[in-house]
Amino acid sequence: MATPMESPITFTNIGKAKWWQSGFFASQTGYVLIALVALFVVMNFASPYFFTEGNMQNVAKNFSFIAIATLGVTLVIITAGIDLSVGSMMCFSAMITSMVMTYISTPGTPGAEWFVHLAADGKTVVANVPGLILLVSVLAGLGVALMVGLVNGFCIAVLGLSPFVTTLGMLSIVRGLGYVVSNGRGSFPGGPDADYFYALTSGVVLGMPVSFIYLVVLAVAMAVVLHHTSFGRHVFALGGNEKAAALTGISVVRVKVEVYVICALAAGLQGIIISGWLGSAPANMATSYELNVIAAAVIGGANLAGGVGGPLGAIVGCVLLEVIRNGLVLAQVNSYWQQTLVGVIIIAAVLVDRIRSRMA
Amino acid sequence: MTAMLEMRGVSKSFAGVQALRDVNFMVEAGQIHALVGENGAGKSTLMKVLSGVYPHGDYEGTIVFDGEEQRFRDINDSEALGIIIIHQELALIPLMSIAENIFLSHPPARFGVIDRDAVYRRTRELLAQVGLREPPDALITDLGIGKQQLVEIAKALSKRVRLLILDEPTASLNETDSAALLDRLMAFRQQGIASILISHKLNEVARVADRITILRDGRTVDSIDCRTEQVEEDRIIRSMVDRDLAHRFPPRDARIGDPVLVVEDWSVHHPLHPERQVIKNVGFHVRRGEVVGIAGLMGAGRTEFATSLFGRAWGYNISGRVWLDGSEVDLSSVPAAIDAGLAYVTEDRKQLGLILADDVRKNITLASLSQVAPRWVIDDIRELRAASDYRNRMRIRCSDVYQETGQLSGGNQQKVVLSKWLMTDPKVLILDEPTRGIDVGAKYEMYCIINELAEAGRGVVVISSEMPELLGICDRICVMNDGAFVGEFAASEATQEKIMRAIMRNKPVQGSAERNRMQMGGVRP
Repeated sequence: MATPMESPITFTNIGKAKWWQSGFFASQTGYVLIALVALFVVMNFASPYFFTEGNMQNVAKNFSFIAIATLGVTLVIITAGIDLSVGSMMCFSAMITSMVMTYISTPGTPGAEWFVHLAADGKTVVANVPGLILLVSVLAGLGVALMVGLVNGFCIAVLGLSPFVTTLGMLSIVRGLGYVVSNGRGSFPGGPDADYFYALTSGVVLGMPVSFIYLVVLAVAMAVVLHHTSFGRHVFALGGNEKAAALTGISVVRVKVEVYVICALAAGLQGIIISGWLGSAPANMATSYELNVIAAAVIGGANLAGGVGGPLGAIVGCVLLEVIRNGLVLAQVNSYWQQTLVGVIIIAAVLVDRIRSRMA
Repeated sequence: MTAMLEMRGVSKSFAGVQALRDVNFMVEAGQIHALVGENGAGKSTLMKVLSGVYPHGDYEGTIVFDGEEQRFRDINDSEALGIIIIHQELALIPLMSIAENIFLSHPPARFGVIDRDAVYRRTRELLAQVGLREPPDALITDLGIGKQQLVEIAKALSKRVRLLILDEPTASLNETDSAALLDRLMAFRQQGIASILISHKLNEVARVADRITILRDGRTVDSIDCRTEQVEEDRIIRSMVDRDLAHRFPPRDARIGDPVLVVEDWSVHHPLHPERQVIKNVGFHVRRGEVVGIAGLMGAGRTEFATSLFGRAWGYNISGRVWLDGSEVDLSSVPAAIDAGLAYVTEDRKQLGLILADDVRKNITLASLSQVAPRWVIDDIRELRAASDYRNRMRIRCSDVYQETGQLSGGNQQKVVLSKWLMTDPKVLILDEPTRGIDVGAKYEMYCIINELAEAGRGVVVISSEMPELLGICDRICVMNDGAFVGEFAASEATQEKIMRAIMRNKPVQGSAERNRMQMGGVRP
């Protein structure tokens, strides 16, 4: 159906931009990554301990403690939304997981006969497949996250409430529920599967903390989903221009609900992992973590206006925050400076992007 | 008369793109100076240089205003001299009233407190000057684009304007309003206010301009003094596109088949005023291979009809029956409408049609990802091939399909939107103002594309405010007014006069119908 019309119009002014003016290197993620590499080099000279295996493991573990949740929040931010409830969500999921684990591992409680019984010598014995207790309790923790995500998504996508207000409310609701169910006390993973639980959350495999491995797997999955599936396209389209997306036949409500559910699940999983490392799930766990998570996402290039972001950026943001924290400790700088510096970096990262787009 | 403004040797480039090359441009006091050129020719860029959007140092060349060289740091500097620009993208705050918008930066105040009465009085005066009958406290968001444009002009008038720059002011106005606006400009000329008019509508330009300057590829290629020279449309078009346009419309050889879209008893109410019936139980049909035009003034309900049909994307309490290809279809959601074989190309491609930050490829495939994503995962090669295919077929001018759509010119953006919908393989396409804000060459291409769509057996509906366009490309023209079809003509017997007469014959006295309705408590006679 081509229009075989001779084109007399030549566009001499359409030129291709230089390679460093487009694509990855022109993105905020790109130059924050460059800044990060530079920081590594500086740290290498500043402190002999920085590049030791122990410290690197420490860094890897610490940043992966917020990075999984950051992946989820990045996804929400791409759709021009925000999720402030992730900190509370981490705590609540962790709490439910360890409470369920303790409950079903206690012989004699109603329902626990499915999982454990008391042996003749008074020891608790697993009644069923090993690991079932762990699986059920983790699923319970993720289950509540799923529900919170659904409520968030319903309020935002169906009722049309603002994401900020909805999740601000949810931050308080979920934190409050955590205090209610635990009576303000922390809960501890217990029972025969507790060792599995610790191994799977704070263990080390091939010299790497397991939380780091989870992170890498999830980040790769997210990259594939975002850039190579219809769902990913819909997420970006929604953030880029919601009205146009709706008029293109994208089910805006469904995509939004899905995004908030995924974010809540990521936060829940993150909380469960953190509780494994802490050995408990205190009621004030992960308080105000949402701010670190959002900061990391924004530093890594996720645009709060929507349409921009990705898993690499989320990780780069988290690593940068952790390396600065770690570096300041190694450099024996007063640790109170840390927060100030983090704030400066948030603004600097966004500012550089602003200047760059002005120059273009 | 003396030169009020002189721009000498202005050049400006963006990363890798030379937008202006050594442009010289002069406006005399009390002159209407038209600036024409294809989209991407550099008109808007030149005006942004003039108004200080691009500050001094960002471009090369000099600006002389009132005999003095000016170095604007920002738009405030140029406004202080009375140079006021009204952009294509209006700068109004939607949730504020007309009065608040007009006096946003300089409200008349007594002892620091805004003088509400004075604001409203002045607003009414200004609105009367631009011919807008709306209460000063009406919210911008409740006005259509055309009325918003008039508010922008009223806002410019409220500042002491000496040089008014209008970037396609009439693109979204109907003919009556356009004429009124142009009369305004001529009245300003008497008062010594000069205007720079950027427009694609050559008949308007020819009517009001004292001088016409033509830009092409960032250069001034021609300048016509209308007082001494004959203004020939052909000469302008030739200069703009560097080509003879023997015919403005491609020849059409229609082969019309059975009805493909039939709408019966379609009724739509306003989503904000549920008692107001916007579309009044209308019937409509399109045949295979037919191009049907919907003519009408702004606010006649054409866009509302189309968008309510397209998966109830607009409207409330919608009822009626629709058949596509002989079987009744459910159009209760946009995906359902797309599945049924309907496509709607919006009049507002930037806000409603495109993801501007995304590249050409992603925009083209967005509505039909399932075609390139077997089992969830997108097949990059297949997607690239599909996008490139449309790029070639529609002759979309972009560096490659990975270029951001936001960087393309209006005509090329429109082709991207059209490609997106063609990829869904629709039986019927509704094109809402398909040539709005695109240049002459791209318009011709759009007409060719419309022809080919019809030849391929699709039904095409074209909503347009440009009557010559409808007369040039349609087989049949339906006239809509006040939510109902009030006339229908075969293209061979339709004329602009007939269409206009059909509209005017049925046009209620301005505002009275609305008032009656309100008084009767929402019950319609």
